[in-house]
Parts: sequence; C-alpha cells; structure tokens
Amino acid sequence: MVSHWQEFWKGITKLNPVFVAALGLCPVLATTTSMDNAIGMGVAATFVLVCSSIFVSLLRKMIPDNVRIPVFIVIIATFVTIAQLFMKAYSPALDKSLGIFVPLIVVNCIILGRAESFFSKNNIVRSMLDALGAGLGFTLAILLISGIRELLGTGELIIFGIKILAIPITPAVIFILAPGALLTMGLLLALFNALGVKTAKKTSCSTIASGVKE
Amino acid sequence: MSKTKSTIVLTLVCIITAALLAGTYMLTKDKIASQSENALTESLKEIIPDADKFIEETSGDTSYFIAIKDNIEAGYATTGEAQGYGGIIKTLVGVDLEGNILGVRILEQSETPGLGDKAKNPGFYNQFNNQKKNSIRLSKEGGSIDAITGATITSRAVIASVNDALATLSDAVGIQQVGEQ
Repeated sequence: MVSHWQEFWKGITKLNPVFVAALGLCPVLATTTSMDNAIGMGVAATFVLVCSSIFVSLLRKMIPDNVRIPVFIVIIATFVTIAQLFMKAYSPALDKSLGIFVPLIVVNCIILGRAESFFSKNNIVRSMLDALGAGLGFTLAILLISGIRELLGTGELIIFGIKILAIPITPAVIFILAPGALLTMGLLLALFNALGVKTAKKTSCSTIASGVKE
Repeated sequence: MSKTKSTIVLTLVCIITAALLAGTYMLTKDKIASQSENALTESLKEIIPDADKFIEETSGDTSYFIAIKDNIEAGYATTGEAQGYGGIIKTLVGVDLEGNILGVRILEQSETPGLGDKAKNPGFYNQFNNQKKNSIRLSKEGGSIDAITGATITSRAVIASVNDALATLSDAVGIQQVGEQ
C-alpha cells in the first residue's frame, strides 16, 4: 500500500506530468511566456484536476465501462467551463492572455490520463491527493519554464506587477517567442535526463499510469 | 440491461453537470457583464481622478467623455485605435482643457505576450503624461517616448492610437493645441 504522502508527492517528482510523462505539452509551450500566465494556467488546471478527481472517484463504481470516457470528458468539460467563467468574472486580463488554452484544458492529456488510470480506480482521498500532486507538479514545471523564458527574454521577473528579480543582460527576445519555448523545454528535459530522471518511454494518456508501478 | 444502465448513467451525469454549469453561469453572469464596462469607467477615473462624473457625448460618428468637476468641465477623454503588431490597439486618452495629456490607458491589445503586451505596464503608458498632440514621438525619432524593448512596432502603434484619440477630441471639442496654429 502506498502512503498518502507518496500519492501526493509522485505527481511532483517521479510522475511529473511535464518532465517525466511529457503530457499536455501544448499549453506548457504556449502559456509559459510569463510567470503570471503560468500561475493562472497552473491554478486553472489544478482546479479542474481536483474537482474532476472528486467526481470521478465518487462515481467510479456507478460508471459503466463502455461510457466511462464520455462521462469523464463531460465532468472535465464542466469544471473547465466553471473555471473559465470565474476567470472571466474575476480576472478578465488573465482570461484574455491565456486565451484558447483554458478551454483546451478539456482535452489536456494529464487530466483524462489521471481520470482513466487513477481516479476511476481509487477512493476519493487518494484521488484528490493524486490530483493535487499532478496539478502542483504541472504548475511547478510551467513556472520553471516560464521563469527561465521571462528572465532570459526580458531580463527581469515580474509577478503580478511586482518586480522580483532583474539581471543585467541584453534580453534575448527569442526566449519569449515560440522557439524559446521549445529550446527551454528541450534543454530542461535533457538536464533532467542527465540528472537521472527517467522520461516515460511511450507518451500516451495511459502510459502515465501503466508505465510506473503504483 | 447494460446498455440501458449506460444510457441512464450518462444522462444523469449530463443533467447534474448541466445544473452545475447553469448555477455557475447565473452566479458569474452579472459580474462578467460589468467587467467590460468597469474596465472603461475605472480607466476613466484613473486618468482624470479629480472628476466627479463623466458625461458621454457623441459628435458625428465618434463619442467622447466630458469630465465634470464642481459642475464645470475639467477635461475630455476618448478612445483611439491603431493597427499594432498583433491586431488593433485601443487606447483611452484623457486631456485637460488645454489639450495636455492627463493619462493614457490600453483598453484592448493582442500584442505578443512578454514583448508588445508590455504596453499595458505603467512604465510605458505613463510616458504619455503631459505630452501634447503632434509632439509625441519615440525617443529614437527625436521625441521622448522610450520604445518597449523589441517592440518598436507596438510602441509606434500606441502612439498612433493616442494621436487618433487626440484627433477625435480636437475635432469634437476644438481644443487648440499650443504651437499648432
């Protein structure tokens, strides 16, 4: 039996959705232009993960196998829409800068992957811990990427209008643009590989669970 | 039997989630509607903080705001548009009775995140304060507005947008610019 702490911790470390499983990379590349965006995206994805984990794990014994994917998608889509409505109401600027990537959380592999492989097989406490861990792992990963991109691309880090760090370099604007996302992601993956973090061999929604023994 | 059960479960899940969505929509509907209105009125208050109220006037096909303080006119404001790097840049510009810029705010923009969208930062738009029409230029072109690093097109577009607003105002209320006769 895996301890509760491990259930939570694995999403950040050995099952990190971005650096280990390499799942949901589209928003990872697109929304990491600034740390503000990464925080917004991370919070939205974590909210959807946790809410979906509660629903899916509660309903797991009632959902017939042949309609489980439609049921998961309906549940996930509901919470994504709720997240977006709240974002529109309370932070319209963030909603604008994240644009299409909030609705696209619906088809984010991380969430469907965890629903299929974990929430549908485990009780509510374990599912929520797993969801929190995966959400936090995702958030920390995109914060790291966006931090590097913002720092190298603009020479400073600004979070919610407060400057927290500035380095005396000529900003390499390319890091803010699309190539910078791919460069940063690739170099970070290489670094984590060199440090001995194993990347999942196959990257499909199901490998995140089946590839690693729970 | 299993088909019937699948149908029932899927239908129930859809009904429950639809109810959740309807609830959230009702909860956030008014707030969302007021957000876009708020953006304009709050920006107006920011750039002309002395004003007690703003009256919207239309002249021809443009509209502008008259800032009222102690029942007399204290300034004017209107919006301007110009083509930026990623789309239209819409600015709100407020001026005093002599036509000096009191403040500029970016209402809408779709510039490159991390580059052009820095036009939204006070460090950029506050440079327009106390400027006058026809004297607004980038510093590398002899003016006093420092362009955003790596986003000269955006910086020029903001200036064009501000000039557009100033042109609307001088047409509408006929502010004579000093040195412009």
